[in-house]
Amino acid sequence: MTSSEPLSKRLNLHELSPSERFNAGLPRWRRTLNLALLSHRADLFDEAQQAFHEEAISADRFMMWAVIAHWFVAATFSAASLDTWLLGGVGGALISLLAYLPYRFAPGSLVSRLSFGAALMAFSALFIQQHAGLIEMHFHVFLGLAFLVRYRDPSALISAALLIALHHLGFNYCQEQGVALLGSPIVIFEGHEGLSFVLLHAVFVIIETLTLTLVIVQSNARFYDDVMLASDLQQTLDQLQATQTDLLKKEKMATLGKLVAGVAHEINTPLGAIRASAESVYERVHGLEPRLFEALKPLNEEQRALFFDSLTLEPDQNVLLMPSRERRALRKEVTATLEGAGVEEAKLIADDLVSLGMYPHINALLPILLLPNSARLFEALYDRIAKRRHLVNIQDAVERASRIVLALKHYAHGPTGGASVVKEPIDLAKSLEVVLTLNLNLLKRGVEVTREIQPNLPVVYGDEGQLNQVWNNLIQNAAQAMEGTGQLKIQIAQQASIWPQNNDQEETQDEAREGVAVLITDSGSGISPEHISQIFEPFFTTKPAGQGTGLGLDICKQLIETTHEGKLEVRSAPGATTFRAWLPTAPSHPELP
Amino acid sequence: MSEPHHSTSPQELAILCVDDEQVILKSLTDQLKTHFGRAYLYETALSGEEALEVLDDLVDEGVKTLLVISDWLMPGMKGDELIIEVHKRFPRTAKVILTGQAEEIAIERARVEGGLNACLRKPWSRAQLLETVEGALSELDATAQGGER
Repeated sequence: MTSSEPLSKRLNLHELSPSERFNAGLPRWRRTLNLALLSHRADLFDEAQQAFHEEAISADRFMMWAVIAHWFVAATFSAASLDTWLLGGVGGALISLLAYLPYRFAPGSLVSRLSFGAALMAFSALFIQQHAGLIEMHFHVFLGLAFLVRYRDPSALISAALLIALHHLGFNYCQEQGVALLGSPIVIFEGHEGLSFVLLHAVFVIIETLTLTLVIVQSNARFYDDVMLASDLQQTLDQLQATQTDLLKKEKMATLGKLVAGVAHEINTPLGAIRASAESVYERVHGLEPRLFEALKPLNEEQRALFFDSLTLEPDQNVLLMPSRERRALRKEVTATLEGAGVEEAKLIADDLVSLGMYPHINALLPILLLPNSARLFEALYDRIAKRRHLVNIQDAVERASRIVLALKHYAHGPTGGASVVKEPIDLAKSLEVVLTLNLNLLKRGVEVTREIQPNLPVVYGDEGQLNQVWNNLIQNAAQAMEGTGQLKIQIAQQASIWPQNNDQEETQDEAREGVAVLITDSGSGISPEHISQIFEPFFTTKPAGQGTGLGLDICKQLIETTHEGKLEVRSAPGATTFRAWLPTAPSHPELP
Repeated sequence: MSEPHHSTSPQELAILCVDDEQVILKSLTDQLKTHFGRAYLYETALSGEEALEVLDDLVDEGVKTLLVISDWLMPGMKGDELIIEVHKRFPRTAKVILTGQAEEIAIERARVEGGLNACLRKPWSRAQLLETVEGALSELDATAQGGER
């Protein structure tokens, strides 16, 4: 038979909710046929047919029980009044057997329907005969016809009506001719007989049959009308969904656009540095050998050795991190030392020594600075160190750019934006780091990022692309709320009840299952109480028109709560706004893709 | 700007570079130093606020700052604000803004209110930088002569 999963599940009925509502209370075959029509899925028509067949089998089963009950009545109560035990027992058994055979070998078929229609009427005939044509027993004909409406198919009625018509004609003839059955005369009409009575009964039966047929046809027609109505509703829903998809895409593009602008800037800076450093090295290499040769020419062996020794001195890299004021103080000090030793242009040389980080080696360098062509020698020394520094610069810049490219690669990982959701084990800390790297340009100027990541966290399954989209949205919102300066705190912990806003640890109930919580807290001015209840609502935005669709957080909530079966919540106070995304460690449907 | 009286050697001149990115400052000062050599002192500052401190300190040390090259996008004081402030305090200093962003409104404001001499786009080439700096310095000479007229 069909798979055990409810149809609504296989069809994703939440996408079809108006029709689902419409479907409530309809038999299953109708629901399926309805959905087949609505969703334009050919495979569902087969399923609808199957469901219809099952419905017919169920009606057959009902009829089979009805027939057995008839047999029982025929063999007992009905037989008692005129002692027609043999007729009731054997006749009832025969009818029941004849009805059982099609049911047994072709359940749900037209033959089975026709045979049950005939069987119920045969029981009418039996009852009438058992009671010697008692007119009240003719009422059973109408009862039998009413039973047959259960099939919602006029064919069973027609079969029954034909049989009862033949019976009336035949038995009336037998009554007129005085034919006997099992020792009793055949009597169909108590106290009277004749074709006119047959015709009178036929009129009632025909009208009854027509009425019931009309009821069945109307009910079926109304069903198709309803299907068409639902189909219209579905079209409207489809249009709404298309609009929604469009908006979602726009929101995604807006987020992506922001991301791309930031990433472009982040890559541009190292590229600019690489370009500048490469040009500088190029300049410094040009004509280097003749300059060096000229510089070394007047030196004696000992002086040359002194100079070559100085080339091995390592600069102090920390000078780059020194505040300008401190560096100038240092320069003053070095200037004084140089002036004391009688070096010319002491201040400019001191500036070079400090900016190159060579000031710790001032004593080793002093003899060279006092040589007759010290300017040229110092320039050669400067060249060498500057070149090395540029090469380090290039390496750093390449490192920085590739880190961003790598983050971008991780961000785009998985079928982001695609329809399918791929759940796999997620390293939440890494996922957040990727998004932080990509949003560096929003954060590095004045936002201090702190991370509190609990070690040995349980594994969370999720769609990395979708989760990245959520983190990206939350971090960009946080950066915007802080207007570039403040503290951003990222916490990942199993112990989920760590709202920074209140210490009383009153807690949410969702943690019946195990999970991991990601908390993103910014030190911005907070969300006002009248806004906080609305921020997850679609199209709610406090940003000026054109800067946000107001769908970002709505999408985040959907991604966390619907796709990942987690929970996304917010708490806000001035100076601490926290978004907390809770994700279960075990997906509730691990077999679902 | 008052001339320092204790200076014995010829007037010392400085170029101040302002950016919150170390790597940019390194590149800038080195490119300038390679070209202009020891004609100037090359000062750096990591923010607009620090730049103003450096300018004050340089005055105290008797150094005349000829040119300020500032990034636009920095935490705290933005490049255009710095330029306007510098223009108020040291009108005879040339000013160049360095920017990766198309912040036309801010640049225009700096041009009008801050006497901005030029704007250099990131990433710049060495040739562009030198051309821009030399251009700004020559404009400065022109106005200085104009001022002494």
